[in-house]
Amino acid sequence: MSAPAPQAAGPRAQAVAFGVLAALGAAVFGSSFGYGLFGEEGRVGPGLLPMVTGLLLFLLSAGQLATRLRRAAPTPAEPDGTEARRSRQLWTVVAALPVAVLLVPLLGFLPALGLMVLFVSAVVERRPPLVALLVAAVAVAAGYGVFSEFLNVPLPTGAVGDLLGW
Amino acid sequence: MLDNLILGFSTALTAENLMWCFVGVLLGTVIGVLPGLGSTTGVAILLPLTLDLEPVSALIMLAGIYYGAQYGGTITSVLISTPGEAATVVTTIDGYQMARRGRAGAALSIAAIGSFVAAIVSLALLIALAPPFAAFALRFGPPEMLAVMVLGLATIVSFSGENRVLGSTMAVLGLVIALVGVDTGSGVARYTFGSVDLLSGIPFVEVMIGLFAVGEVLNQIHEGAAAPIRARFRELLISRTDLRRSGGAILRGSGVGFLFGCLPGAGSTLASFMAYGIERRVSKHKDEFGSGAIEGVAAPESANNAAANANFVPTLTLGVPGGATTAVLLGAFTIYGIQPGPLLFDQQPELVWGLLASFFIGNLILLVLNLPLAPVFAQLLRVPYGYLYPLILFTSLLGAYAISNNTFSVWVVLVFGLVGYAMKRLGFPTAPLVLGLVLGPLFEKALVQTSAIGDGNLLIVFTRPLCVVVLALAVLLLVGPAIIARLRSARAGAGRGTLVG
Repeated sequence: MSAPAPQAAGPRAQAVAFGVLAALGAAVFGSSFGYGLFGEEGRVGPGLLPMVTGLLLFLLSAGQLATRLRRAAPTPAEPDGTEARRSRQLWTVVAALPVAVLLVPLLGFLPALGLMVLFVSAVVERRPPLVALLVAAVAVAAGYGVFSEFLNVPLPTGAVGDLLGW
Repeated sequence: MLDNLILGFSTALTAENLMWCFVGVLLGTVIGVLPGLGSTTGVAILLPLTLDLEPVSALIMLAGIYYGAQYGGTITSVLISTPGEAATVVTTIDGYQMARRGRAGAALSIAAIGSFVAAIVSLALLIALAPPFAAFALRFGPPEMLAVMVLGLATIVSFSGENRVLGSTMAVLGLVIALVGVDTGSGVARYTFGSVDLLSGIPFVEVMIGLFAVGEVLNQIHEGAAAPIRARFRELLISRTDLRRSGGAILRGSGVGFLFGCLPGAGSTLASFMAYGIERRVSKHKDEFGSGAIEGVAAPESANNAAANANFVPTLTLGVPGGATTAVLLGAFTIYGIQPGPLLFDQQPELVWGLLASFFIGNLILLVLNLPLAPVFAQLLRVPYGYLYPLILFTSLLGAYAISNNTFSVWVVLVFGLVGYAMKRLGFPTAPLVLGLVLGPLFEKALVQTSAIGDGNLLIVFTRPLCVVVLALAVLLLVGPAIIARLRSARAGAGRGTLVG
């Protein structure tokens, strides 16, 4: 349907992905029988579609896995300095996101996400502290105005909010 | 008919109703721009604002919110690859690529123009053909819907281009993800692993925010595409060539959109995918699809707007919602003490025709508001990505939470953000996965109901003429291109043979 995004990962990474998908398909196929394939009078049961889709996913993925494995796998190039920096940035952001969500029960939704914006701007993007603070403050203020005030979304205030009586 | 139209426009064109329509379009656009908040959520959230209004004014405002939210979703689809709802997923494919090439203004303009033309076409069809179309839609029982779902799945395979197997794999993965939750046919919980949150399935909108918004942000961080897009003002405006290229796409999209929009369920989404697929096949610029073809924006945007109007066919004439948003609107009807159904046109002509006229006016306001604003919205991309993406992540997580006031939604966004990132790095297309996810529950529901009707015999689909026609179309989609290609090569071979001979 869509033109695939410019592919950065080679056949080896694709092979791993198809391996995972084939395993998922096999697991769905295997577990489908436990749900019952057919109901009364031979009607479609809760396990029929998992059985069919699991099998299809397994076959399609296994076929492509075999194709990728047949291709000569080039040795992955050593990442250069820029590539290593980008990877570091990426994984720092990926780590910051769940940490922010885990902080929600303690700090509340907006402060936790505001901290995430501050961290990403100041540490990952290396903005001056005042600029990073401004970006985070604008985000929190806009989030509060639109979601809390205008849309009346009850955002969690966290233990700190409870303590402060928010 | 003319009297009814005059009545409708005289109702909708009062200063008060015009103002509420404008307010609805404006608020809808603002809501639609927020990740995760599509037209359904927008209408539901803003419904309380209309409770003090006259029923006709309230419905006109709600219809304005509906269209505004849809266009708001298009803005984010184009600018930051974050669709507001399933029906705008396909717009991200070429819309976002146009934006990356500095043509966001043109993409947003053609979306507004296409939506407006689609509104006129579908309004004319709605006025002229609402009762027969409703009767036609009524003939679509579970077996026919099953055939339509098969057609939808065939669309994925047939339009996945060179990567048909890959597209099919992603569609099947979408179907597998859709299996999670309580099975509607039997009440059995599948793949929930004891989690209460998973009983209602993996939430679709959150998956979309993760795959598109967060996945794209992570990919951009890795790509290092932090440079702002500095387009010249001329490039932000829509050109005559753009309009010429999009004309056919808009008309075809409008027709396809209206047809599919009359069917209850996933009509709008299927319509946008079908329109894109057809355009990809008939366009003179096939090679540009996927890398920023304007027809790839014009066709699905016209289709989803025409489908939005057509959704009102079963809603108004039968009292059966055509889609999720019209289901919320149907709730609004009952709040105002209005009973939709065959008698509505006779009993409350002022309300019905006023509402229909407001579709036209609402889309006109949308066009007047957004054509000059499209280049302004596009300026957002001049902001360095390093400033933009923390805010995209912030609003994505906030929007996800707002959907069901639950941090589970936020976790789903994060997990599917990583999946979306991986898919982009691996070159796996995301749109088939989304269509599989949308069609999965509908497909299974139709399958279970059909097997119940046939007492376990699914072959009853072949005894119903409509099913046979739709299934034949699906087969044609799958094998047609191969047959045509073979015929062409055979003809070319024969031609060469004659020349040589």
